[in-house]
Parts: sequence; structure tokens; C-alpha cells
Amino acid sequence: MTTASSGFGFNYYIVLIGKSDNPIYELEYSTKGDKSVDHKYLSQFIAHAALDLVEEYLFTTNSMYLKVVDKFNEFFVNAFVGAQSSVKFLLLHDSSRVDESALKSFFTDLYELYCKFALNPLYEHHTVIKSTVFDKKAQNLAKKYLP
Amino acid sequence: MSFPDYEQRTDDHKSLLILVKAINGSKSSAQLSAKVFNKLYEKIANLDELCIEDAQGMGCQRLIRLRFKRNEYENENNDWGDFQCHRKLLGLIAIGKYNGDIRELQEIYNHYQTVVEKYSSTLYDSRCILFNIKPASDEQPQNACSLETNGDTAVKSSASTNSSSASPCFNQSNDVDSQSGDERVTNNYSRTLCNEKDHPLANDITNSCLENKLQKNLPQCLIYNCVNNDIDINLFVDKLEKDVRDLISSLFWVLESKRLDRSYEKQDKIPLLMAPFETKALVGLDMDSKVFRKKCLGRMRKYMGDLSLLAGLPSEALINYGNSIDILRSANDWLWLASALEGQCVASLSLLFPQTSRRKSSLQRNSSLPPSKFRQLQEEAQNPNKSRNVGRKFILPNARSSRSLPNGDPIVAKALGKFLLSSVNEVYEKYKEACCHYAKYRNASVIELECSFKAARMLTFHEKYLYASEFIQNSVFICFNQSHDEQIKRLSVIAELYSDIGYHRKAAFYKRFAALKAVSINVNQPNWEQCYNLLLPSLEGYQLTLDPIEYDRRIKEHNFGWTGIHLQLLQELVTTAKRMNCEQISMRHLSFLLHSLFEFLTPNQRRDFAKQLETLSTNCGEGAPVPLTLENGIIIPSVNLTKFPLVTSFKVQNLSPQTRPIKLKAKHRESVSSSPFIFTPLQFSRPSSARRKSLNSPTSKTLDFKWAEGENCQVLLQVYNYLPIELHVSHMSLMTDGIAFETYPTSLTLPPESGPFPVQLTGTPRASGKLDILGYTTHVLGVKNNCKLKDLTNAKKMKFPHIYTIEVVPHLPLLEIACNQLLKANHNLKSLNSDSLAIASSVNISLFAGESKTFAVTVTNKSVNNELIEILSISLQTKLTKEAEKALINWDEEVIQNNLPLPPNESFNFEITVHGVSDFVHKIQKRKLSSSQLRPRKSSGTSTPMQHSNYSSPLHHAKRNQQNLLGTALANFISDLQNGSNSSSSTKSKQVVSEQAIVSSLDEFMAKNIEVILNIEYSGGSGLAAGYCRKCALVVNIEVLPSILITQWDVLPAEM
Repeated sequence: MTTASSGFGFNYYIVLIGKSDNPIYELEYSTKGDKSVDHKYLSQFIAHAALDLVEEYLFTTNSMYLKVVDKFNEFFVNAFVGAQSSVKFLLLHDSSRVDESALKSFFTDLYELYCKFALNPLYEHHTVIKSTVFDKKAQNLAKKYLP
Repeated sequence: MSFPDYEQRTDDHKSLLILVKAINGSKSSAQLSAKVFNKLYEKIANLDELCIEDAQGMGCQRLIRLRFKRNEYENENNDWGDFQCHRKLLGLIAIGKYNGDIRELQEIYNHYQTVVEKYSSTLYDSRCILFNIKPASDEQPQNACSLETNGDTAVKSSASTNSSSASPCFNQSNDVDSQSGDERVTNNYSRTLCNEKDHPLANDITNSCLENKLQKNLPQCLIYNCVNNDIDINLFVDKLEKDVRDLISSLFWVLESKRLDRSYEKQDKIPLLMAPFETKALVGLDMDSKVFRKKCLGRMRKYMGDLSLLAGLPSEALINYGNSIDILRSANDWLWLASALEGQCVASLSLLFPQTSRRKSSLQRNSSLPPSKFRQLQEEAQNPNKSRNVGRKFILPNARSSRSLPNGDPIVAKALGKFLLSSVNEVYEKYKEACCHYAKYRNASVIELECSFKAARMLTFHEKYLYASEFIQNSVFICFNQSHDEQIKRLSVIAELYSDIGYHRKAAFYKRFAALKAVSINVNQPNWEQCYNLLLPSLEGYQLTLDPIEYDRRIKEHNFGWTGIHLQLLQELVTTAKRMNCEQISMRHLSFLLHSLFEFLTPNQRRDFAKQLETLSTNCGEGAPVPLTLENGIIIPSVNLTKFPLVTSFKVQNLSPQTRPIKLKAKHRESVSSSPFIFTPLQFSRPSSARRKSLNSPTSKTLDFKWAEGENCQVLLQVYNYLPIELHVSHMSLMTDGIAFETYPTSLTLPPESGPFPVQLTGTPRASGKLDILGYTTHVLGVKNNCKLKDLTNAKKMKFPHIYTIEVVPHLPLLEIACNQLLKANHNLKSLNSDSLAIASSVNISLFAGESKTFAVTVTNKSVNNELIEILSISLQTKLTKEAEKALINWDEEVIQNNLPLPPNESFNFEITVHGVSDFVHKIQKRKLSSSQLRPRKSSGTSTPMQHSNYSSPLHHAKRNQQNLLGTALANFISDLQNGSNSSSSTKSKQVVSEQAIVSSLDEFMAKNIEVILNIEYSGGSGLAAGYCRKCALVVNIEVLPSILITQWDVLPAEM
């Protein structure tokens, strides 16, 4: 349950979620040197549980970026919803240093990336994104914005 | 304080706490069964509200709320009673029974006294309800007793309690009643005792003596005499209610007196009320400082607020709370400030929403309760309601319900307006503040937890779900030392709260969290069973169903949720079930995991899970395809591994032609179709509904062929193995419904990731009628599977019907034909070939043109089930005309009929005569010119019986017109002859050449081949009765060798 906060850096888990709560893209990103602890399952569970709150926060604001919607132990969940709330973007992180504006632009850029990808007529919406280009671009975005 | 009450609500602040406790004696007769106690508790707990008339009799009423605790209330919690009055245990109801024995009574009473002693610091009043159960042998005097005391069997002996001295008006109304009651109870006892002749005391002690003793010794005792050995609760319902009401009113008056006691205001020093943990911190405090005095006053104010709230005066309480908040804030007394804030919230809420969560106040109607009494009860219950309705709508200063708040007092109204929280949002803010203040004290974490729960429940009730979720979230992170069981309970309650606000995913998360807590590595003895039972309900929140068919459906609809999570959950379930030693359940989950999530697994995972399943099954036996029912009633649906192996084709095979049943043609066709029309579009004989059904739904497909009883029938399958391991499929057989069907299981081994492989499933119908083929059964990876066609994953794609329906006809005889005299031919039939022919054997016959041969055909009845062959008919199938057939081949029909019926395993012979029919004419000239024409002429124009004498007659022209095709060769030849006779010598020279050619090319005169099929239709036994027969065919290849050939002749002129 608890992470070894030894060493410097943070863990991030980015997930795009389709309409039936199915993940369509997952990305684990860490600024830590060693990836000793595997958070993936825990991250998935926390992200899944946060969806309830995402749906609740949707109605409280007009903006697509919902800020921190949930937290569990040392993990924070930031959320962003696509137009018509069809696709949800969640970012799980244990970082205390993240800048809200940086996160916002991270989500906006990721959303743009997703939109471009979704324009592909061969891509069926709400299914898993399997694209090395998308993967690479998402990695770059994470590198750019996440400390 | 470490016993949080997770079920607390905001309303509980307004409730008097009463403990209901079972008191048992040492003897078995003096022990109340848990069932009876629970029933009694429920009856008592139903009474959660009570209206009490104001003492001044002005028609004002107080609504008192009650909270009951069953059996136990921790003293630790009771100690917090000064901090929050609703935590104080004010009343006690002890329930016990005794057997008419006064010593027993004494023992129980002593026990009761110790309980009272335990809570003496807070208890206002208490009652001991005792059931006096008399032994069955004393029935006669008992009846007399109960008759005497009929009307009021429950005899009361209420007396003032230790604390009642403080209440001036306590028990006044009851005094007279209770006195008379006392008399009665004593009477009753003395009688009981006198009846017990063997009792040593009975003779010694006089009535008056006993009277005194009981009065002294047993105050607060209510004794219910039971006529039967059994405690019939329904008999006492009204009395019980009355007594409980009595206790409550007594409690109320004590409370009211305390509330009205303003003596503390006159004191120089107000005592400092303290929470239990604060006593240690008291040392070294400056008792005279202004802050300290403020603290004392603020806390006392807050306490008065609590009392007012309990006494049903929320507006008064609100003012008290408001004042105390002001004072405590300035004194920086955060803990008590938080408590006061909580009080303010509750008071405001009860003013804002006076009707929230109000429940019935009368006892429940019970079927055994006489209607008249019930009506009376109802009226009683309604009466307070009527007067309460006046105050239903919110009137700010609710003057009617409070004596101490005179109507129209502007100062009070102003104060009320100042402190009253006007909306739920404000209440939410205050609760948040209260939680923040509580959080400053480590010892108050339970209070904070309860406060969070209360706030969350309240906000849920008012549909402020986001706010509620904040409080629930807060309650997760409050940490204090708790046992694992307590932690699990807390998490379960959190999950419950989340599902109350519709956050099912959150709820599922905490349910799983609780489950993992039960087996976390810190626990000495992991409780796997508890873990499993907690884990199972969480699946729903993760959109994970354990029904493989439902799961497949969701996948098709792209509505399957988070498969990664499903995988993890299922693995957890598998492990947990294994640790619980429930291998069957573990196997079920594992097979579900493998089957339903197959497409989401990596090849490695597939291999691992398949191997795991195999080893699990070898350890604990095979899994059966039945739904498993857990101890708590949850049913885990069966999982049939229809994907291993995956069936891609399922074809029901017809029987082989020889054994295929054929419908006999009805001789009396008229009776079948009663319609006068040859064709009518209206088919009355066929039920239209059945047709429509078969058209619309692909659920059942009726096959257009039939199987026969006792015959080996087959279904052909094609299977794939998509598992990365070698798959052993054993006991693969058909699954059928309807008539009896014997299956012959097959086993096969499929190499990894390969296919398709053909599989034949065979079986024998053991009865006649409709047979439904539902699917097939397999044993794969140690799991038995019933794979129904409709449940196959690719059923829709493959257009499998749900059921194949096939008709099975009764037993039919089987016949064998043999011709031993003739050579068997191996050659395949070409010209007359067709699938429907049941060729038993084929023979060759060669004979010269004009020759006749006779051979015997042996017919043997080879029926397995002792069927007689009752009818047999032979027909010919050739390409010839009927007449030609007759000339070629014939047999004696009589012999056959004489030998019928033919018993099993017996045979008879009949003779078939074959004639080598030929026209003997051969024309050489055309041989080279049109050799291609020869053959068709041969085959088509052979076997006509010929009377060549006719053809040489001069009348041949006339006849030739009537010749059929068969005679054309001859006709041409004759016409050639005629031409030749008139021709020049050049033709003659030609003929000489051709004569030489005859000799050289004699071998070119080809033998004629004729194929004849003898069709034999036969039937017998029950199959005949059902109107079916079988066919069998004998192929005879007749080779007609040329014998005499007439190549040329001349017509000589008659000699003159």
C-alpha cells in the first residue's frame, strides 16, 4: 500500500478512460531512478474509484480540467474530461510539487493528441489505443510537464 | 474511547440512550433464550419516539426520541456522557425469567443490581422485566392465579430510583397505580410459593411477611406471569409498551428537572465539565483565570444545550449552543467548541426539518394481536400524532412545543435567528469546522469519526452527495489504534455510505480494501473466509459479473469495464478461495478467469492459468458444471469452458444409406389428404404457430432426416485449440434431451494453438420420438463442461441453432444380400450413381448374346433387435424402358412373398434370371466412319427382343416408321442392303474389302455393358408400424458378349 519514498522523484500514472469505464490508454511514468515498486494494480484501483468523483465534479464546473478530485494515501488524482464527458483523463501522482497550470496544460495537450488520434477513421472510439506514435508523444508530454 | 458507533446519526443527539439487557440466572430455567430476547428487544426498540404531556398541562407536548442499545454499552463510551449527553446511558431495561422459585428470583435480581451499579453514574431509572414461568405440573393452581390477576398480569412494582429525588414531579401519576400493583404482585408471589409444597420456606413464611420482603427487595421489578411454559410475547405486547412508556416518562422527568436546575448560575464557581482524557491535563491549570472561568461557563452552557435537546426543545438548545460557541471560541477551547458546533447543527436541523426520519411510535401490529386491542393501540399512537401535526411545518419560534420559549419574546427570537443555521450548506460548513477542531485532539478521533459519519449520513439524506463524500473521505484518514476487525468494520461502513450516495465504484474500492485488511500481512491469523465474503460483493462495483454468459454479452456490447482490474480481482478470489480450502470455488473462479477474460490475457498468462487449473483439479477432483451455492446463499454460476476447444462447426450426420429410414408411401393416400383439391395453398394439417416459430426464431432447427432407434448416429464437429498448451479433451460426448440416448465418449489431444480437427461424436438412440441435441459435454483441464449450443461464444456467427431436433424412428430390420455364385465387382457405379442409393454389393455377370443365366440371391435378416422382415419388394433401376428391363432380367415374385416374414438371422434364396439380349446385327461399313456413333447406338439400342424375320419382309418400310430407336441400326442396315442391291458393281468390290476386315478386327466387337440396380425395400416390426422402411440395392453389371453377328446378307430373288 505504501510506496518507498526513497530517492528523489515521483510516480505518475496516466490513464484515458472510455465510456464503459474501460481504460483506452495507460501510461506509467516515473521520474524516480529505480522502479522498484510496481504500483500498477493499486493505481488502477484508485483510478477506478476516482471515477465516481469525476462524474460528480463534472456538474460543478464548466471547465474541462477538474483539478484534484480524489486522494488516497499519498496519491492524488487529477482529472480532465473530454468534450461531452465521453473520455476521461486521469493522472495519479504522489508528487507534492506539481504545478496546477503545468498539469492543466499537460491535460490540454494530451487531449489535443487524443483528438487528433480519434480523427483517424480506422480507430473505433472507446477502444484501446495501440499506437507507438501516440505512445511516444504521450511520453514526451509527460517529460515536458511532469516534474 | 475506542468503540466507535458507526451507525450514529444526527438524530441520535436528541435521543435518550437506553440499554436493553438480558439477565440470566445460573440455572438453565432462568436463562432467557436469545431468540425470545431479540423478539422482545425488537418490540421495545420499535418505540423510538414518545410524546409527553407538559407538566403544566397546557397541552404542550414534548417529543422524546429514544435510542436503544442491545445487551452491551461500554463504560468507556459512557464516560463521554458529560461531553455529549446523548452518550450517557440514562435508562436500563433488564429482561430475565425465572421458574417461580424465589431463590432464583433473588439471584437474578442481584445480577440486575450489579448491572445497575455499573452504570450508576449516569443512570436515571431502570426496570427489570421478569417472566415468571411456572412448571407444567402446577397448571391447575396457576390458572386460578392468572384468572385472578387477569386484566393486569404484568404487575408492576415501580419505585423511585436513586436519582428520582431530584425530580419533584416524578412518578406522581403512577403512584396510586403502582401501589395497588404492589399488592397484587405480592399476592401473586405468596400464591406461587404456597403452591410449592415442597418448598421449605413455603410453610413458614406468612403472606404479610412475604409482602414486606418483596416490597423491600424488589423495587423496579415487573413480573409477567406466563401461563404456559413458553413465553408468548404477543400476550404482553401492550403491557410491555405501557411499562416502557412508563420508564421513559420517568426518565424524561428526571431530565427535565436537571434541565431546569439553574443552580449553577448562582454558584461562584461553575464546575468544569471534562472529557475523559482531559482530567490528566487539568494539573497545573490556573483555576482562577478568566479563560478558565470562560471555559467552565461555555462548557456548562453546552451541557445545558445537550439536555434541552434531549428534552425535546431544539430552539432552547440552539440558544444555549450559540452562547456556548461564542464563549468557547474566545476561550480557545477547541474540543468543546467542536462539540457545541455539532450541537448547533443538530438543533438547527431539527428546527429546519422537524419531520426528518421520524418513524412509527407504536408497536407493530402482530397477526396474533386481537383486532380490538390493536385498534386501541393505534388510537393511542395516533393521538400524539394529531397534536404533533400542528408543529409539522416550521414555525421559527415553535412556541407551542416549548414552555420556556414564550411566544413573541423579541430577544429570544433574535437570538434564535442569530444562531439558527439557515441551510444545509451552512450546516455542512459547521460540521466541517467541527471536524477540523476534533482533528486537533488525538484522543477525540473516535468522536471525529462519528461526527464525520453523522455528517455524511445527514448530507446524504439531503442529497448533497459531494459534500457527503468529503466527510466519508475524511473518515478514511482518521487514524487511531483499532483492532483489525474494527478496521474492517469501519471500511465496510465506509463502503456502505459510499453506495448510499451512489458511488458504487468507491464502495467497491473500500469493500475490497476491507477484504484485503482481513488477510494483510500484519494479521497473525488471516481470515480468508472473511476476506472472500467481503471481496465478493465488491465485484459488482467493478462491473464484474461471475456469469460467463453475461460477461460475454457485455464484451459484445463493449460494456465490459476495466479488464485489468477484473483480472486482478479474479486472481485474488482464486487465491482466497484456495486458502479457504474451497478448491471447488477456486477452480470455478479460475475457469471463469481463463474462459471469460481469455482474449485479454497474454499468452503467458493463458498458459499459466491453464496449468494452474489443471494442477488444481488433480489435487481436488474435477469441477462439476453446477452452480455453487455458498454458505451465505450467494450462488456462483457454472462456467463451461466452451472455448477450449472452440467448436467451429457442428453438423448432425444422416445415417448411412443402407440404414437410413425411408417413409413408406401410403397406399391409401385419399385418407391422408381429405381435401378434394390436388393442390391447395391452405395447409390445414400443419399447425401454423409451429411454422411461424420455426421461421422466426433460430432457437430450434428441425432436421429433414431421421435417425433410427438402435442405430449408431453421428455428429461431426470441427474444433480449434487456441490455448498455448496441449489440450487433453476427454469424455467428449453429445448432450441430448428428450428420448433416451446412449453416448459413446471420445477423447482427443490437441496440440497447442492449432486446428481445425474433425471430431466425431457418436451415440445410439434407445427409444423413438423427438431427440433434441443441445450441445456437447467435455472434460477439459479437469473441469466438466456442459457446452450448450446456445452458449457457445461463436453461436451467432456460426448460425448455430439453440437446439437441433431430430426425429428418431422405431427399430427397423436390417437386411443383407449376397450373391455367392457371382464375382463381386469393385468398380464404382458411374452412370446410375446417386447418393441416395444404398448399395450393398455389386456383382458382375457376363454372358453371350442370346444366353440366359440364373443366379441365386441370398437375403439374410441381420437385425440386431430381432425384427422380422415383414415386407420386401424389389424394383429395378436402369436406363432402359420398362419392356427392355423385363426382357433383360426377371425373378419370381412368389418365392419372395412365400418366404416372408423372415425371422432374424435366417435367410432365403431367390433366383434372378438374366437374358443376354442382343440384335446380333453388325454393320462394318460404318465402323470406321462413325465409330463414335456406334457406342451410343449400342448402349441405347441393344436389348430389344428382335424378330429379324420381320425385317426381311417387304413390309419393312411400313414397320420401320413404328420402330423405336432401338431398331434404327437394323433399319439402316436394311435400307443399305436395299440400296446395295440396286447399286453397281463398285459397291460389291467394296464389300470384298470389308470381308477381310471382319476377320482382322473381330476383337473390336465390343461387349455391351448394362448396369442394373436391384432396389430392395423392406421393413418390419415397430418401424413398419410407424411407416418406415429401409432400402438396399444390388448392382448387377451385365456384360453381353457378342455371339453371332450378322454383318451382311443378301436378299435373293425367288426362283421361278
